[in-house]
Amino acid sequence: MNKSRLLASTPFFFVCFIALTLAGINSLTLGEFEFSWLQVVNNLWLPTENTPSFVIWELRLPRLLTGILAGAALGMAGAIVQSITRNPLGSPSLMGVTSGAAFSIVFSFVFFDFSTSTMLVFGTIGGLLAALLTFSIAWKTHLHPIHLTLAGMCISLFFTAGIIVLLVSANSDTAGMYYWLAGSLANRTWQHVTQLYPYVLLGLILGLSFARPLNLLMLDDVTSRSLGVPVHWWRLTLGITAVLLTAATVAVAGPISFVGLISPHLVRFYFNNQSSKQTKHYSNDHLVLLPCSALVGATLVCCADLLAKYQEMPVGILCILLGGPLFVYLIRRQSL
Amino acid sequence: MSVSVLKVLKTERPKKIALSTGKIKPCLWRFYLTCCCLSLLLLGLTLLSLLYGSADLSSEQVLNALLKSSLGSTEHNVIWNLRLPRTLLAIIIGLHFALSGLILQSVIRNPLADPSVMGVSGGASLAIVAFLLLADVFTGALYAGEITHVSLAWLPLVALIGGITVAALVLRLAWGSGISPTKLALNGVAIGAVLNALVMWTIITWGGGRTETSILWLAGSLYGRDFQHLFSILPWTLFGLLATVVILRPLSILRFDEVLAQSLGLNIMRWRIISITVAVALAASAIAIAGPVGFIGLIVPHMARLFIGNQLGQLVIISALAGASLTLGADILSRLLLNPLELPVGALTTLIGIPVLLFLLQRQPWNSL
Repeated sequence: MNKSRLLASTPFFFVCFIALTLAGINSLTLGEFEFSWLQVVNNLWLPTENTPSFVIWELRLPRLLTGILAGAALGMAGAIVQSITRNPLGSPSLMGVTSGAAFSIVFSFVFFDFSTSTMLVFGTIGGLLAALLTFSIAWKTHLHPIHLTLAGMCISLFFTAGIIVLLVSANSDTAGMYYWLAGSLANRTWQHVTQLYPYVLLGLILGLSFARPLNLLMLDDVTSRSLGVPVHWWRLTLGITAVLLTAATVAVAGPISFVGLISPHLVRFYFNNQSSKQTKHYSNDHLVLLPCSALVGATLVCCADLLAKYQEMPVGILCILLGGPLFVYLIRRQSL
Repeated sequence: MSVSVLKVLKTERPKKIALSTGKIKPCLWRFYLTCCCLSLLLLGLTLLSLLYGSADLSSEQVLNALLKSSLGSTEHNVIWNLRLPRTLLAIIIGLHFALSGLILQSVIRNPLADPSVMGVSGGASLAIVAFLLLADVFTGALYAGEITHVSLAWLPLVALIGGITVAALVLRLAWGSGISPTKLALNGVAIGAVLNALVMWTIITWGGGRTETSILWLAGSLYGRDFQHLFSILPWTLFGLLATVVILRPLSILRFDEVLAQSLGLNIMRWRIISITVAVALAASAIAIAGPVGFIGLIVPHMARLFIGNQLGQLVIISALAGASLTLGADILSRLLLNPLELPVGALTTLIGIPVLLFLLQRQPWNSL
């Protein structure tokens, strides 16, 4: 990242980081035991053997970290999908990827009872299949945004109905499944964090190293081909990266939708409202857009989880409630 | 308006909603044949639905229970309290959804219109869940500790209010683009998703003891419905059928473009609102009883057009019959597939309906979205 980019995105980073920290510490104070902020910071800094330390380190911190990782992965995946399809309505959940992954995870859970890592593989396969279905349906329209999104939402509904069929036919205890299906971060442990972070790190690194090709993919196909970009290969690779990121989140935190849709738009909104022309240009520079989206995603999920903690309801629902209106607004702005 | 003009219009095919069928000229024998076939199918399915179930009954036992009322016997109980009301309800609900879909598709001139696609189901569900919970709160506050049951008769009305509100919202949102089919569908699905999230939120946070049953109801199920449910929906069925007959004439003109309809002296806006209200009322009352059984309203009218072409009066009858058959068939399947267990019929119809929706989407000319 060169100097001007860094300068331009510093205030944004700063604000997000502050919000993230505040939400994080606040969510660490909430729960069965109420701690003061000072206690939380102390115990984070110098873990001791007593109860507050245990509660914070073993019960609450994993949840917070899972939220941050999941949010970052989703924000990143959303930004990638929006860029490779050149579609402002793009996001993994609106392409059916989330539901497809959830479906195959439930499938593996019901019929094989696999370990979580196998569930992740299943989730990725399911997500890829769903994405493939969506794209093949919308292919004829050259991936027109409205069309692609509608096809994706239909696929998503289809897999949701499939999940219900699976759960009913499973004949086992599925009450916990319902909660997971609503997208919940409750009761995450360090195990979940260790499962999630390699994928998120890998995804972030992959995404950042592909930032240049992504910039070129924003041009139309003919131009980027003439610049020597193997368009289809980049698209495929990046698409698989996005699906992998999403599937990993679904396996660990359940289907959380709309975060991938909102975060890149928030970043673009910020940069587009800057006065200098140079800064405005960064809203389409992926070296800025991708990390910013990841950060915004993490902040969003953390804040939503904080709100969710007051009522102990699944964070996925809150994300839909936040993202839905924005989605409708974006549809309205789509020209046909 | 003169009769001759109408006659001409009837034979002419409206351009936008003619989908699959254009070449079929409306001819009477085809209509009668389809009618007969569908009636036979419906009859057969009804018998099947009465004969099969988790309790093993021979056909003689079923007949005995139906004809000779031997009160108190197991057969009598199973048939009269479980299978018969359920069968009849499936038929009625199918009819409701099918007619609702047909009316919506004609009024909005949109092949993708359907109560569940337009978010009406979501609105109705939210209204019902909220109403039930509020009723619990109020009665709980008034008569502490007593279990009070809300009268079933209220539910369709509440569902209607919720459905109408959401329909108005979705139509308003999509209006600017001259109601392009795809955009309307996308708006509807998006708002439906938000409403479903709201419903889940309400149930999970305040549901308490009702959580399990609410989730089952939300999936759309005919499990455990009895004559009480049937009677609470019957007035709505009668009203819906009558209203359909009344709006048949204006509706057949509304299918054409606005200028033509206006030049025929029709108050477009008024009839549009009336028709949409009737459609939503039909769907909402069905949802109040059986939960959001999705996509029947989408599939059935297209099926009917495939059979008999595009004449509205005939379409109404065929759609009603086909919708009843489809729902009953799906209900039987949902009972038989996993025999001791039972699938929610709504999940089954969604699994059938989505491929149809995607197929229709594929056929949309994309450059004239």
